[in-house]
Amino acid sequence: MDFATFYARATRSPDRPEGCEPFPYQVALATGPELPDLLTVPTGAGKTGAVCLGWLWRRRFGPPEVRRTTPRRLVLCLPVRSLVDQTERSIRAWLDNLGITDLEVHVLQGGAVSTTWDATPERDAILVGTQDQLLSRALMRGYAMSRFRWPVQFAQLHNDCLWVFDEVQLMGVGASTSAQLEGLRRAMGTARPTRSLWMTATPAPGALATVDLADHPLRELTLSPADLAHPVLRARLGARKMLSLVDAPRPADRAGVIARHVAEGHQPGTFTLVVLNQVDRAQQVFGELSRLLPGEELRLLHARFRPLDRARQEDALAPHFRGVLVATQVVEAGVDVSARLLVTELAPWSSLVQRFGRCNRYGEHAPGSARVVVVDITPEEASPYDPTELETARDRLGTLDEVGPERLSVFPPPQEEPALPVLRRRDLLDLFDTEPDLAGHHLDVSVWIRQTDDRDVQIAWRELGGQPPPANAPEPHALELCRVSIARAARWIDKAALWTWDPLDGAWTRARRLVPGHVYVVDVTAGGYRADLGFTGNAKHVPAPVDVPDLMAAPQADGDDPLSHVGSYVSLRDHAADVEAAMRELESALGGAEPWSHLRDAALWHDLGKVHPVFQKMLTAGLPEGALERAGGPYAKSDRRRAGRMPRDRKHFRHEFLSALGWLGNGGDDLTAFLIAAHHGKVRMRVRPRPDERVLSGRDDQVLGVRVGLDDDRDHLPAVELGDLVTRPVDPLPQGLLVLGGGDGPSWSERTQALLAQHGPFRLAWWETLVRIADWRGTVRREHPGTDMEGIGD
Amino acid sequence: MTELRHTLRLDGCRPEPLAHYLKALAILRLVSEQVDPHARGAWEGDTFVLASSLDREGLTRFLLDEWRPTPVISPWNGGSGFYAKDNKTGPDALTSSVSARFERYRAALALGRSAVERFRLSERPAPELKPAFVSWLRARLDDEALPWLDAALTITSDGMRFPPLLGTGGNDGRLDFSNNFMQRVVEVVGEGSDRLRSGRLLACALFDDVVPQLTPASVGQFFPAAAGGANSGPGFSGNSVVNPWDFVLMIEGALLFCAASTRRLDATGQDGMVFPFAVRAVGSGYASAADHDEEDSRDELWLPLWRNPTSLPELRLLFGEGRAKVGGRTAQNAVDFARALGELGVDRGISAFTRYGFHVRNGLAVQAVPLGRWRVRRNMHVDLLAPIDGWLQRVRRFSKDKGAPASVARAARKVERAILALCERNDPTRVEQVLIALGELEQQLGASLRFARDAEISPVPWLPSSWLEGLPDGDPEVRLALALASRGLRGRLRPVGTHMRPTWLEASEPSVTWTAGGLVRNLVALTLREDVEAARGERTAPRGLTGVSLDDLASFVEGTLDETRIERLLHGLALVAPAGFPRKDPPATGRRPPPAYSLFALLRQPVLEGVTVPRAPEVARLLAAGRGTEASAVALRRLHASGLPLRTAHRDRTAGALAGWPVPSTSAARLLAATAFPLGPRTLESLLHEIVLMDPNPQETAP
Repeated sequence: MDFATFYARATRSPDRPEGCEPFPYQVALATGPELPDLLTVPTGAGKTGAVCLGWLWRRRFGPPEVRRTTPRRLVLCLPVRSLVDQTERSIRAWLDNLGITDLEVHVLQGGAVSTTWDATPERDAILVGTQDQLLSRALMRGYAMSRFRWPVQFAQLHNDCLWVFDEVQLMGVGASTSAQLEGLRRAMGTARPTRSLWMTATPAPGALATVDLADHPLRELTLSPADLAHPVLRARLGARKMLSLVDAPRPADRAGVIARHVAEGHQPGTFTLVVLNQVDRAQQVFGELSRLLPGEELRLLHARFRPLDRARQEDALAPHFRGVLVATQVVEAGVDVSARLLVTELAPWSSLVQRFGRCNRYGEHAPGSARVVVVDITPEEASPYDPTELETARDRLGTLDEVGPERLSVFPPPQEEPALPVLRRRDLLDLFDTEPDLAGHHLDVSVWIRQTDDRDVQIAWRELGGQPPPANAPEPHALELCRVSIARAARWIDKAALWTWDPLDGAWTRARRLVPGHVYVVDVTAGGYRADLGFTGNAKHVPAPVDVPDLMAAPQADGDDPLSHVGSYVSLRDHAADVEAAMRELESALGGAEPWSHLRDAALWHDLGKVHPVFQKMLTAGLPEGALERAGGPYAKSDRRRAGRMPRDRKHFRHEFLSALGWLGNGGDDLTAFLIAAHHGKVRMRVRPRPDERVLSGRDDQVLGVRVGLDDDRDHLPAVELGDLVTRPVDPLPQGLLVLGGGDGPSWSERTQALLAQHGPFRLAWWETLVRIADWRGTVRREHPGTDMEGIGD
Repeated sequence: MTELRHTLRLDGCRPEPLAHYLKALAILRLVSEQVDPHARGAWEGDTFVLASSLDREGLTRFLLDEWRPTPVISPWNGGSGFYAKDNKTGPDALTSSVSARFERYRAALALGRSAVERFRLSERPAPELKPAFVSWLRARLDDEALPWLDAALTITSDGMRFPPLLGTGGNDGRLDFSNNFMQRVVEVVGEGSDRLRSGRLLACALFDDVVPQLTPASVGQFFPAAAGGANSGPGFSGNSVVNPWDFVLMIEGALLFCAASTRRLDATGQDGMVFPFAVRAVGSGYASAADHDEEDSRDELWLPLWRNPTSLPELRLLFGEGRAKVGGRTAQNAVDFARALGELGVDRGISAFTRYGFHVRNGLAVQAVPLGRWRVRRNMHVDLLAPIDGWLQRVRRFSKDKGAPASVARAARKVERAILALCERNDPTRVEQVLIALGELEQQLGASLRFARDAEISPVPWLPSSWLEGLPDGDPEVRLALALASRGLRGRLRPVGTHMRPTWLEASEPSVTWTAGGLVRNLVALTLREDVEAARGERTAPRGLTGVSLDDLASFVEGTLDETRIERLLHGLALVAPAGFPRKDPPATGRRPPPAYSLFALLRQPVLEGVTVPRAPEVARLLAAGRGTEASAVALRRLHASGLPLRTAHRDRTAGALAGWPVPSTSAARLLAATAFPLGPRTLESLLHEIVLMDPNPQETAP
């Protein structure tokens, strides 16, 4: 099979049973000797298909050397949510057509985050997600996931991945971060080949020329003369969109004038898109249209909706929607819709170019029938834009009578610089350390992910009956929240009570002032929201509260040890052997030049610390006298039913930390010690007592439940059987490890800092992850032999 | 690590002044980065000790001949050498140099100039442009030049922030540190510098050798003793005189204070204290503390001293994070930090901290003033603050608001100072001061109810009874206050409802009787009010678990005690729930109050010897009015009438209508006040013996 056949098979559809022929640039991407770094192709020219099917071809059907060097995971990073669903649908259709069933597609977007993709690093997979979800994970601070699992996903997003960033020009600071991550991976090295490919319609390589990537020349793939001659592409690129300009109406008439232009120009059975610069104007125009076009399908889309209400409007983005969509800038971002009529307010040039791209996208409308109407605005109404930017756009429009891609290409792209702030090497190395978060701090990495509108607050409407929320009321769920600008919220709320959760007091308190980014709960009777309009600020609009299902399981606490309780008692000896065997299987599945002997040692030794009498007692607390299991042990796992709890003074006991001390006490090396300690993501770069540990234990020498002092009550390790190995007893434990400057050897921090400097964050996390995955598998193997690997983890 | 190790005492590197501390960090950093990655440093006593491959001569030669200065540029500042009016001798000399030592520096200067060009600046960027300007630079500076930027300022969502250490972004008033740094670098190691002289100055800076002639330059806040002025030394005036190496190494050392991302991005830091070991100042804990220090000073720095030889990467981690933790949260101000030392909420291995305040002392120049050495050790009383930590934080937050009453703000500051003093040394008088200050704070809040309600500051949460154990136990004032407080008088002192969780009541709450009139007047008012309430059947006065001794009561009646102290302590002790007070009934040895007291005290007991004593509110009223003799007569009649057999001597006095004990009008109120103190059963019995015939004798009881 050649790529063209493959491509045609993948793109079959009821409309086109023979599938599509790939464009020449798509063939080049799939079959060229190397992948480009930049793919600059106009919107609507099949970029997603080019990279997805190109990657799949290279990974599965290319020459052996290409297959071997093509990463296992394709990561599609998209600037907005609306693109995610669309992309996922396409990919699933292609895979269906190709009959490929052993390749999973996972979606990572707010409210729908796949949690199962990270347990199978040896399988091929496609991840489709928003820049928020994916970049936060690549920065070791994944949104909407367990803190303890951050290193696992970090590792698998920096190793064996082809990152594809779509519509880079919309990613803002996310683009800078993506460039820096690529540059830093090249500088510090990864365990598995990983690379990035940026796709954009408008070439702006300047945005990627960040300090650590600027010295690497980026290979660009763009349309060749053969592409431009291709009939399908020619139709798209030559698509014509007739432009008419409307003078700025008086502010009071504005909505009416725009609505009339829409009503007059709209043809039933076609799609019309209306783009306004402000939410309230969009709402007004929508209201006018409801009167002018009764019976027509009307949708309203902007950022001031609760998620479920917004999702109901988003069917307008589906390919077969016919009717009128009134929207704000939210549709500028790469949404794949194609209107016959586009009516838009004047906007800065770059925004207008995006908006024009949503009209006659594929050249499917006959010349002259696709139309763009731009309605001018007065400088007073320019907000949120700068009037001088509008001036430039107005001047350019004055020279045009149509706005197809060919006509627009005469205007030079702006000279771009990387968006700020730029992630630096020291920032990333700092973030590798998750200890501050485990100690209760909350790091906000959003500055490197997306420019946020700092002037927004988030509101949840609940039925409060005029009372404050009850003390045990849950904090608002994402599905309840609507973003509102502070200025509008302040005007609306005036008298009504806004309640906010004060973590300091542990109580709901009445907000005295609005703080950007904060979340408030308000009684539904305050109104201000209508499901079909979004936030209106109109007190008469009383919304129904959102019924939030109990989506989130109780979060895991630091002291929890879910993996220690399975279906039956498993001895430490057997479990060590199981995990080592699982590591050997990973070794044969993945191959490569990993430090396999360290990894096997870590697998064998990882649970040594469980031999501690307090831990053993906890595992067997519920066993009746004379139970068979009482004679056995030491155990690594209980049967879940008959385990007890750790006593209060050992609440923070971390067996993996004791394991690492045991390993070092047996003369082991630092890398393996780190891998052992890190196997739950709870003991990594630094070792410190948990905040209440000294109070609970009454001891100054207890750290993570382990007593390292030299008094009679100190902890020590006996000889233990791990698989076929017998460890040496360790007494006393190496205690200088925990002191600044160390004692009998370097301190824990000094050792881990040295490892980080030597191996870099990407390799270290990858090895850390392999041990954890081997542990998961070794555990499952005993509980449910032959079970699938998905959905497991600690 | 096979090569030869040397242990070198650097007598010029000491915990104080600040410049000398930073010098120690500089040496370790530069040697680790540029010579020996295995170098270690530690504080031995008050001297910094460097363990590395360098001996004295090697260290000297390294700094004189090889050291590559870290690029330090601040084009966001006026006077930084990037703008027309600036002194450019330093930057020009570095730029024109061809020495490889300054290559990185030249690159940084070039980038600085392109930033100035890119933003089309002819003078330093305006405040609103500064974040973008700095962010642009941070995106491009060489990795090695970043620490200076990160140490000098940080951009947060609500604007730029500056650490106390480096002024407002690397300058102090008109002194730009980076420009000065360049000039001094050129002076000590630039082309054409006097190597011999530089070497001697270096020996002085590192090893405290005798000072050769110094250079006039401004050293700023780091080294106040050298910062010019009238008394800075013989022969110098006008310019400050400083060893250029001291300045250069001070800046190199300050670079270790660049906050890690994990610190800068911490969204939980409520007050936005993002810089390592920097906390809000609290004007106390040192001799010259005054209220205005708190306003005029910038934040404080608490600088760690550690005893084990420690490597640079580990110190970077320590300084990058630079936190002390109290009750699981990051220390925000000096009080928190001091508490953290008592809770051992700092890294193990740190033995002490030197505390520095940054004070505006002469005009605009800021000085780093050492405020004492704090050892890291456990302090049990500090743990007792944990239950009110959240409350204290809230008060702290709101008492600094513009609308906060000055009295509340003052009282809140007093609490912080008292806590700080307690952290410094755990002794009974300091425990007492904390309690008193808390009582006063609640009193002030109670007087500013509107503010308290608006800010949602509740009354002080109940304090654990372990507070009572730390008080000075030899003082009658403390014993009397404890006894009174055991009656649960909080609701009498201020409008606080004490059912379960303390809550505010209305300001007009009638059960509050306490005013500013002094202890005796207040106890009298309390007693009268209790009589009124009893007469209405509203409630009976609680009696208190902690009885007083007759000896202490005698002192009280004599008026020889410090009653202000009793009253202030009462305000504080009222914050401990009454149930937690110790049961006390001291033996009746020593002195006794006059018998009239016994008479009045007995009359206030609801039940005596199984006999219900009728209320006699008129007795209290007479006493309050100073008519003590009349009161005693009425009291005797009352007791007699209730059927208690009075001793003969007393019985006689009931006969005559106006008889009774002569009680001077001046002590009548005091006697009444004395009856407010609780008495244990044994003490009560002893009083009873004094007035009533305890072995009932039919003859004597006959009329």
